[in-house]
Amino acid sequence: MASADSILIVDHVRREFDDGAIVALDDVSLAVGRREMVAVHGPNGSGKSTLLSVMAGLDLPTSGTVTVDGRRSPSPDQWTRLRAGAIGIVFQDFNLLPTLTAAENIQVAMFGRLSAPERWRKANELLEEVGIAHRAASFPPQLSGGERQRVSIARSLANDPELLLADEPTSNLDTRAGAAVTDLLLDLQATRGLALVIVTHDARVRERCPRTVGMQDGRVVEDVAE
Amino acid sequence: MSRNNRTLTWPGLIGRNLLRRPGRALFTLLGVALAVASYVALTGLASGMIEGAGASTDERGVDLVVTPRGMVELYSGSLPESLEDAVRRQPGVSDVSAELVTALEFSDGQAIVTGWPVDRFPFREMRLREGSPPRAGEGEVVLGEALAQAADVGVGGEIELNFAPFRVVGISAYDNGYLRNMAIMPLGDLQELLARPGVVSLFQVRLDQPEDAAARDATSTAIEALQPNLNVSTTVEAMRASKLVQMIDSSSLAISLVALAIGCLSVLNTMAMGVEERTREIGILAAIGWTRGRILGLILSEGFLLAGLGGVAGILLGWVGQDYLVSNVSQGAELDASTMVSQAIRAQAIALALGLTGAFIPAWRASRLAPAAALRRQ
Repeated sequence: MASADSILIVDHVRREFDDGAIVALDDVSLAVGRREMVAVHGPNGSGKSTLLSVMAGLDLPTSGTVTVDGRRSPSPDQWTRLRAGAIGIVFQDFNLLPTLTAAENIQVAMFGRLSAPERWRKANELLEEVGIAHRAASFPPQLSGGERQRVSIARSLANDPELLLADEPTSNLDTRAGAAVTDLLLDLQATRGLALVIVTHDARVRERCPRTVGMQDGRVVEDVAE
Repeated sequence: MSRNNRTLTWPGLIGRNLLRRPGRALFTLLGVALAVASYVALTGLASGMIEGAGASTDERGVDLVVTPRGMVELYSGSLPESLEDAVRRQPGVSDVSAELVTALEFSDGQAIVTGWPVDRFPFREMRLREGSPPRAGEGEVVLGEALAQAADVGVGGEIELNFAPFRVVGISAYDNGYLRNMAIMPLGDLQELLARPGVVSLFQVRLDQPEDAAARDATSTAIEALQPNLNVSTTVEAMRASKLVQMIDSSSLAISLVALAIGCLSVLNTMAMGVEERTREIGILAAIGWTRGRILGLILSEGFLLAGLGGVAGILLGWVGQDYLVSNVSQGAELDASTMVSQAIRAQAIALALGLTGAFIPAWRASRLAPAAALRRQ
């Protein structure tokens, strides 16, 4: 399964909470190739979101290893650098900073890497790419759910990642907005050549992914590729 | 470009974070400002007394003063007037004058009242804006300009000092704050008024070569050898050695330190509350690749800016307070511009240190938050 062309390798990962009382992930192994698209699905509490957190280094496994872009078991600081470069994250509830405009929410992800004018220019280009350039000056509470998720997607692309991790990106959206966001993610994956891992409940998203990974009770119970 | 579609800069981000709770930021700023203001006003009082007294003798061309060793304050010094001749005979001394000085109730406040022998240089060189020098034994006095204005009295007017009537015969024309608040009379008259015949507070000494440090030291040593309890120094040194000034200085510093500690805690409290409320946002920053150092820098910068602005406000407020204290506690005390600038620099450095100290613990905690746990916070 894992190969030299894998951008992400999860190897026998276990994640426990409350001193082992809760096992969120149990011996999970998974590899994601460069430019591959994977949908991770399963019922509530199956461990999907915990898996995504571990893949992004937001949470560290109790045991097992995660390798990203050839870096095995990165340290917390290395994970931070990966999230500032190789990894982009799209959150279920958008996680935008409420006091910043749409364009500023994207700029804030580029602090320390680009100059202020470059940050501004790139933020506006990304908003153009996700189709809401006209909302650049709007604050999150002034945006619809679909627009917020587009800002979140634009922010995840700010540092030109190779791996995009999306945690239930459509679950807080109505059917129409959800479909539009799914279209956008799949388009971006194709045009930018990204590896895309989408954690989803949505059967329509799953149907459009060439590979699906099913989870239950913290374990991978199916891994099907077309 | 829309008005709100602007480049987001680091200072802009800091300002945006502080302004999300403008009331709290303002009160914290005020807390720092009051702490710094108390430092500026209180520590300035002692410095003002020292510098004012130094300037008062400089203006009259006095190089050294001879005082009793270990005096509590200048007014309490007690030396025999007869010592003047012995001082005059010491090598390097060009002129000497005894001086008796005290503070007496006057009008609604107090006046520094000084007595000089009528045939000595301070009296002979007395600068008058109008009127004439007071004559010995005639119940006459010259008032400083500020004192005359405060009491609304001019030449020919009558005043009361220590329950005795005096006629104002002149208004002096000095620049120094102490001298402008001083009442001058012949030494014998003041000795009689205070029932201290033959006693003076100090001797003012002029030197042949005031710029020659070695000669000055030799003269000082010679004068100090006259009596075991004599201290010879510049006025500034004498004021610094004064127990009263030292007491004012140390109690001012103690009060200032308490105020500064409260200012520091106020920054800590504000930043800690801010970090607590923004835990999720800090988690978002960590999730999008902000390093611990950058998160630490953000919170520290917010504390730094808050304290910096508070420091500036505090310095301005402190100067106002200093003016009030000087006019109500120590009339005539004054600070020169360079001292005020160096004091402002010191106060601003303290304010910034307060901000950094107060913000450090919350900033450190914020930078150590686990991203996943922070993102789970609502």
